[in-house]
Parts: sequence; C-alpha cells; structure tokens
Amino acid sequence: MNKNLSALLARPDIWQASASSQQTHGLDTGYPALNKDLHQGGWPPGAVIELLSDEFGIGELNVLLPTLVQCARQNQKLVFVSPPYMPYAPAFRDTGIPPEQVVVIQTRSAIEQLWAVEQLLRGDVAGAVLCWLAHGAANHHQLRKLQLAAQASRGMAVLFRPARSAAEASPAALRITLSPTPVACRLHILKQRGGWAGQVVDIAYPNDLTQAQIPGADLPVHRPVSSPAQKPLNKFMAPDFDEQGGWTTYLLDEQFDVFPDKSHPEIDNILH
Amino acid sequence: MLWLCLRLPLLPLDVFVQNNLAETITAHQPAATMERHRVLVCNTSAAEMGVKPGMSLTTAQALCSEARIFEQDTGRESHALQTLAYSCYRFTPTVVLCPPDSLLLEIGGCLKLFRGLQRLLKMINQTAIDHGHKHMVGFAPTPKAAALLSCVELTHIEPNHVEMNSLTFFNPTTGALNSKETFEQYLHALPLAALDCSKQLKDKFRATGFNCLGDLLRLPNAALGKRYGKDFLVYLKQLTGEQADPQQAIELPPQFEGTLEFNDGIISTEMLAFPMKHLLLSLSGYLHGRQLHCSQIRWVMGLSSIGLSSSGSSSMELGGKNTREIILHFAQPHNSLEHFLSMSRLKLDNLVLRSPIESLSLYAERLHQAEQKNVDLFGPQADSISSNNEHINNGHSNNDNLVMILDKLRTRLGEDSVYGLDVADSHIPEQAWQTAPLNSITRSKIPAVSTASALSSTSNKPPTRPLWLLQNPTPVRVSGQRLYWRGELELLQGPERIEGNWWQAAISRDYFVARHHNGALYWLYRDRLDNSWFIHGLFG
Repeated sequence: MNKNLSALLARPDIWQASASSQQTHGLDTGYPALNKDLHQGGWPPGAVIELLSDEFGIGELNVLLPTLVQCARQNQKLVFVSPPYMPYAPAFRDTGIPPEQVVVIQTRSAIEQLWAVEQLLRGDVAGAVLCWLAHGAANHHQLRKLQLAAQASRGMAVLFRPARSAAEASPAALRITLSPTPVACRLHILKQRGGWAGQVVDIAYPNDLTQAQIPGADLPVHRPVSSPAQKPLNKFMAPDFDEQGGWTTYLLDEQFDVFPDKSHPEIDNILH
Repeated sequence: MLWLCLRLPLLPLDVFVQNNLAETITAHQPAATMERHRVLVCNTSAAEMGVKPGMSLTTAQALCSEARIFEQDTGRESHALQTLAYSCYRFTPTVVLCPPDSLLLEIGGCLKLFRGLQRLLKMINQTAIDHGHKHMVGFAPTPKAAALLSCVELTHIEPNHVEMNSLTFFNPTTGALNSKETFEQYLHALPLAALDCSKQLKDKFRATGFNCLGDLLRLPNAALGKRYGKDFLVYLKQLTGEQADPQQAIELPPQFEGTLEFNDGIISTEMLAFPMKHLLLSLSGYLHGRQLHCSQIRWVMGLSSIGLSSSGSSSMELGGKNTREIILHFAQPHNSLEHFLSMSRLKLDNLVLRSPIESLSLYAERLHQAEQKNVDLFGPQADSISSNNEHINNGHSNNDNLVMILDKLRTRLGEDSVYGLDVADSHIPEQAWQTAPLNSITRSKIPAVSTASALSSTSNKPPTRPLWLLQNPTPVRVSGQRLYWRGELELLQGPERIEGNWWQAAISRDYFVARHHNGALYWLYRDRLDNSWFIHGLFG
C-alpha cells in the first residue's frame, strides 16, 4: 500500500467500514451480546449516550445497571439529574449500589438541567451522569456543548430522551432506542460513531420479575389463555449475579431472537 | 528580632481606588486625596503634572483639571489596614497595627519556615499587591528603626525587583545582623526629616545645624533630654535598641465580620464584585490565620430607602434600615478564596436590585477547626510546606472537586435541589428511604461491599423492589376483573403483604408485580383496607 495512504489510515479518526476490529476500551455493559454490538466493546467513555424511549419501567435502568454497579464499587458517584421518579434507595442497595453513591439533582427548567449536566461533566467528578430531557429541551447546539463537555470526563454521560427525538440529528456518540417486549427491553442501535449501526439487542428483564405466579383466585387478574408471551416465560434466563458477584447473561431462545449466539457458527459465517 | 515595617504611603488614595468600580481609576489617571482642602497624597500621574502634598485644592485643580479628587476617609483607611493585618497574620504571629498607614511584622522567628528572607518578602509583597496597595518596606532589629527605614525613599521596591539597602545588612537565612557597625553607620546617615517626631522639634534640629541622625546620637543623653524632652530621649533609645520597646500584637477576634460602606450607592450587581472580593480576601486571611474553615457565610446588603418597592420578600426592616441577606452554605468547610468568590458570584446572578446598596457586610458563620493535611516528612512534598498556605487548595482530590461542583449546583438551583439517598430502617416501602444531606454523602469514603456479596447467596435474596418509586401512589382503575392504567395491566407476581404502622396511619397492602400491555413492569399494591389499587413503583 502507498506509504502516505497507510499513514493516513492509521489515524484514529479515520474509520474503515471493512475494519471489524473490536476495540476494548469501552465500559463493560455487563451484557456480552450488547458488548459485541458496540464497536468499542462497551459503553463509549467520555461521550454522550442517548437512550430514546417514551416509557418508563421498561428496564431502562436495568440496561445500565451492571456498569453503574461497577462505578459504585470504584467509589464513583452516580448523579441523576431530574429523574422522572424517585430513585428508590432500597432497590439500589439490593442491586449492589450503595445509596450514598447516588446524588439526585432536581431542576426547574431545561436550561438549569443542561447547565448542571455540563458542570458535572466538565468537572469530571462522577462515574456516571444520567439526565432525563424532555422533547425539545435541547437544541443541536446545546447537545454539542454537552458532547464536548463529556469529552473532558472519564465517566458515562447518559441522556434519556423521548422516542420522537430520534428523528432529530444529534451529536451524541451513541444513540439507542429502547422499546419494551413482554420479556425484554429491546435495544435498537440508531447511531454509533466509528462503527456500524442498526443492530438490535434484547436485554431480558430479571427473571424473578417476569416469572408468572398464579395469584389468588379472588383477585382481578387478567389471564389471557393464549398469550404468546405467557408460555415461553419460564424458558428464559435473564441477567443475574453469579457466585463471584459479577454479572452473567444468557441469550434468549433463538425463536424469539433476531440475532445469533456464538453457538451458531453457520449464521456467523453468513453474517460476516 | 527582625522587624519588618510595611508602609502604605498612598493608603488614603488606595482605599478609593479599591472600592470604586463606578469610575475605574487606571494607573494613568491622576488622582488625589484631600484633607481640609489640602492635598494629602496624590498618585504619580498627578505628581507629574506638578501636584504636591500640602497644596491647596484650587492650586491642584488648576494644575491638573482632570484629576479625581477624594475626601479623606479615615474609617476606610483603618479597615483596609486591618484587612491587610489579617492577611499578614499567616506569615507571623506578631503583627502590630501602626496607624495611620503601616504594619510592623516580627519576621525573625519565621524565616526558617519560609526558607529565607527573599522568599518571605516576595510573598508579603504579593499580599500587599493583591490588596491593591503601593507599599514600602524597612528592616531593622528594632520596631522604631524599621519604621524609620521604611520612610526612606531608597527602600521603595518594585513588585519583582527585590533590592533594597536595609535588607542587605541581614543574613538572608537567619535574619541576624551581618555587621553591627555598618548598620549603625547606615542609621547615623539617615536624614532627621524622616524621624517620627513633631515638626517643632525638626525645626529646632535644623536651626541647631543637625542634619542626620548621627549628629544627635553622638550627643550625651542628659543633654538631649534637657533640650528636646524626655519623650524624645525614650524614642531615640528605643530606636537604637537601648531601651525595650514592647509592641501590642493584634489578636484575631473570635468571630469574623467585615463591612464596607459606599458613598455613591451601588446600583448594579457587577459593581458588587470588587467589594465582595475585598471582603472575602479579608475573610480568607482571617481563616488562614486562625486555621479555621467556614461552612456558611452571610452577606448583608444595606439598601438605601429610596426607590424600594414595598413588596420585597427577602428585604426586611432592621433598625430602620432596609437590608437584604444572602446566605451561602458549603457542603464542606473550607477556606478557599476562589470558591467563596465563585459561589458569591453565582448568587449575585439571581439577585435583582430594586434600590442602591449603601453598605455590604460579610459574616462568617459556622467556623470549624481546619483539618490539617499531613505531608510526608521525607517525601517529595516536604519542600512545599512553607508555601502550603497558598497551595493547600490546589491539590484537590476528586472528592474536593465533587464537593465544589455540588456546592455550585446547590447555590444556583436552590438549597433543596441537590441531595443524596439513604435507606431507612422501616419495612414500609415509602418509609424505607430518605434523602441524605450533602455533607454526609461527600464524606463517605468506603464503598459498602457487604451488600454485593450478600446478593450472591440466593437463599437470602431480598424481596423484589423497583428502582423507581412514585412519591404519591397513582390510583389504578379497576373495571370488571381487569386493571387499567394507561392500558391494561397483567399481574405477574405476588402478593407480598406489607402491614404495620398501626400507631399512626395503619397500612395493610398486598404488593404485586404487574406488566403493562406494552411490556413495562410496574409495582402495584392493593390497599386491603378499602380494596383500591395503586401503582407504587416502576421497574426501570
């Protein structure tokens, strides 16, 4: 190859579509399937991550949880800027995040919100900054400012935005839409700086939540006879703690999954 | 003993330049201070135009029409001198106020700490410059001689040019006199005009034909006392060190308060920045001197009564004067000037002034003993002990940075808007958590590891709890045998019965995990007392 050309290609900001090399300086997501699809091998540090969703309670925090636990174990603070509901301290303690590592910041306006996030990112004082933005709360210029501020920090910067914000251009390094399925939170990678986008990953809910029990007969319970979700419920494994206190994940059964496991070399071959 | 006399010859003028931002006086603009229609002091630009101290007001204005003229304000002068004294207190415990315009510092005892005269002098110079003063220094083994030497023009020093005559007589590391004889010769050559005595006496000396100090010192004491009075004899003896000259060193008051008055009244918040900095500088010097940290400061602004609208929520009547208070809390006590300043500026941004400010006071509340940072005696930092006063705040740990930023956020967003979380000892879900004050969360250094290890044993698994809790449970509509909340809900798990609190408002609930038809998971309960359903949390 031409010497000049190879020198050019060696630059870190030149991305080659053919390069499928997995870089490993991302923050471990705790989900091997997700790590595989993120080209840095995990959440990109020092960059804004956008999670787009209209719903709450679909496991949106569960997606981040293994990384947040790691941050908290390294004695880094997790800052929640204007969360939609109150982060429930006992639940955080149960998942391995000491409540004293969580700082909540309430703001009255979008301007205050963006200012607070920017200050936190510029100071590089938190392991993760999570912020919930309303639709139209930030324009492209303001988002770009946050992205620049995030580059000064080593932690995670996550913006939760409504799903319709997906239509707007954003300078964020990683954009993912979240949508619920009966058993998992479905992640659709919209944009990934320096890598292919378009992948879909399902992060299953903790199985102790979705395992159906038979409630008492006198309760007003809707029990659909032929619900497609009901039957395979118990077959699924969800992310859970292993003996060492780390995270393990199990992929979903192939009949529900659109992407292959490592145990399917023939599909792997087709894809690559 | 080695005394340093810090003389501020332009103090009557400095105090106006410091506080006056309305018409900023540059170094080039001529300015002078008057005392009873006579020029007391003037700056170099005015002096170049021919203005001299002692000149009448009309002559001065004729010579230099564009000069800014101020009336002398002795109250401000003594305040400025005291502020500087507080700042100098960190160099030596013996700081003596010598009104009207000088300070005496005994520096012989602290040369080792500051590693030599030159270094210490540089720091003292910088302090005086930070306070906005032009200064002259003199060194001598006795206080009176130091004061005398500081008057002599030769010892005038430029900010970065440390070279003066009286300094060269001393050993730079020990502060001892190199040679007593040469120093005495130097003293003997000083002109009598610089002496601190009445004008009549000086006239007498001139009439007699005495020109320098040596002429007087050669005479026998008895003859001097007879001619010029006993007091003058004592003065001469104290000057040469024959007689003890006890000095009254300042003591820092137990509480700090500082006030500045404005003649013109300040109408914009930007103009407040400089007086604020001046007061905070004084506070910072005080805190350093007493080795204290402060976790709360209070600004009180005295507003003039004109133009004040009657509906000022935070303005109140206090002794017939309208005042306005700003209180700043800090998550951790500290003594950093920059932090005080940036926080005060943030508060100013939100301030709306309805009438001019006539005075500004600063009170330090909640003083704490400073936590001394230990440095390794043999480590690389051992060198920097002498300058740790300046640099103690530069070595921020990440935790300090966090505290500063959270303080900043709290100042701008409001006291209650930044908090931590904690678990409370209760089995009732809404009482099982509480907010934690900031100072407790920023102090926690050891991450709890026990909870994570407890999780791995499945036998001891805690009950399912959602990551999001609704502070006010939302009612769920029951229709037929179905539950609806923005769509149909399907119960997955439960019930988990929680009862208690019978001594207050009794609760009895059955908790369930429910799934919305779109897939979201909620935490529901049925109130067993009235059979109604509520959403209490979301599994985020």
